[in-house]
Amino acid sequence: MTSVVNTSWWRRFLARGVFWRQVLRYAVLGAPIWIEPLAIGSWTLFFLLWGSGRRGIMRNLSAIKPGSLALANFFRAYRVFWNFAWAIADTVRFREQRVVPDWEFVGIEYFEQLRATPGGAIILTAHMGSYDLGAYLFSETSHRPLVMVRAPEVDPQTHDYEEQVQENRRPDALRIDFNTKAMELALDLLDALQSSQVVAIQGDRVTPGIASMPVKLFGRTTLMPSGPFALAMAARVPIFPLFILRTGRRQYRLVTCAPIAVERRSRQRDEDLQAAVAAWAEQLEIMIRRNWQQWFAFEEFSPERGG
Amino acid sequence: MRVIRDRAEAKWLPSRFHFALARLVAYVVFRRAAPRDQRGLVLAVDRNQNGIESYAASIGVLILATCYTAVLLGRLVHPIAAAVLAVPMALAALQVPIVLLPLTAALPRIQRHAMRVNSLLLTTVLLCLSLYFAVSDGWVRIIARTFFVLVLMNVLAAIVIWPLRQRFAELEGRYEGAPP
Repeated sequence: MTSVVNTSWWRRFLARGVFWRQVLRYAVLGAPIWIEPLAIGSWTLFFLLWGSGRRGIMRNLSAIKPGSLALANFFRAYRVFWNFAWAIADTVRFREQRVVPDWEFVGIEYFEQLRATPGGAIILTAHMGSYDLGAYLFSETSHRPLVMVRAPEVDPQTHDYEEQVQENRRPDALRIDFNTKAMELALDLLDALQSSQVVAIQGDRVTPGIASMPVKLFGRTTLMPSGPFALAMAARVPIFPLFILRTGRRQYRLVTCAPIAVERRSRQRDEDLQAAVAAWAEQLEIMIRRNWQQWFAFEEFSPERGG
Repeated sequence: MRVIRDRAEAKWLPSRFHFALARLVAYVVFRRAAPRDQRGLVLAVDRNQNGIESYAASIGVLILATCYTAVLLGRLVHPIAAAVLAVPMALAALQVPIVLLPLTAALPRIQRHAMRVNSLLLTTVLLCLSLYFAVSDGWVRIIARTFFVLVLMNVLAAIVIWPLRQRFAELEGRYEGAPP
């Protein structure tokens, strides 16, 4: 059965529509630098009107900060949108004008271990800071080919737009794969890892059709993608948790954590995977708790509601 | 774009600042700063890199635009209503070029230099309004004259740093050899 794609003209103006990507590009190219904070501040206010996104952030914050007031979380939601707006603006500015932000490496010994790993490796990150910017910079500075896995855009016009932009602007050492066809992607990624490439995956959200496992995050059961861990087990490569945090205007911090080894230790493969997923969830929870304003999760991460 | 690695004091390099006044202040701070090694730090050398300068300029422009908008609106509506409406209207007015830019799709030359065109337009409008209000009656002339004082200070700073441009290049040269 074929699905009908709704290409109504007004879809481009929805929250995930292509119109806002185009406006962002025009703003980055045309707005004088000295009104950039004003533009970002006012457009962030505008996006606060996006009800479902705002509610998703506020509900997530109620889990991250138990007992927090809804009013306080409303203002915190603005801060999340503010950071998101700056992060995507920085990404566009890098793509269009090759403007690089200041970087600070934390856990640099693990980052260098990642760079020096002779075989393949998996970078596991979250929807924090600028995934795109981090991937571009990694591929241009590490001289190792990087495969960046990302979920396709919900809106087909936006997806086409981003695909075209990525194709025109990405460095040769960076390849982008969309996790739409799980089995084909798994084989591609396995091949990349066995060719000593680095694969970057965002591991804090499950999209439809992706293998997942239940895990506790902030005391609530949620699903985490199990694919990266199964891949690491199959390819016998380490997983490096890596987070890109925005610390100020054109300032980012790249936090690399100790690698997670996914090893087959028992006859129950799922138990071994579960242990690795739990280790990742623990690391993720620590990072989100400290940097909640950087977690760009616009949907509730768990159907459970706290007391 | 050039980057400098592991040197924390390099964040005060004048080349990372936009306005002459900020560059002069940065130069003074840089000369007094002790060299500090910070492993894992990567600093980009771009004239719009500094956040403090960027926010200060934005807040200053917003104050200016808001005051002018409030005074102009006050001639049409009640002063309290003018005060309330001034901030959103000033924000909207400052971003008119962003909205109008797509309409210049038929003028590729303007699009190519969009940032300069927009900057020139906005600066011209702000200067003209400031000139008008600087000679008018009322509290707003203090704002307008303060703006001109800052512009004059920037011009003087530009004169001071003009002979220092070679020195600035030498300072950058200390960190030569760092590939991006």
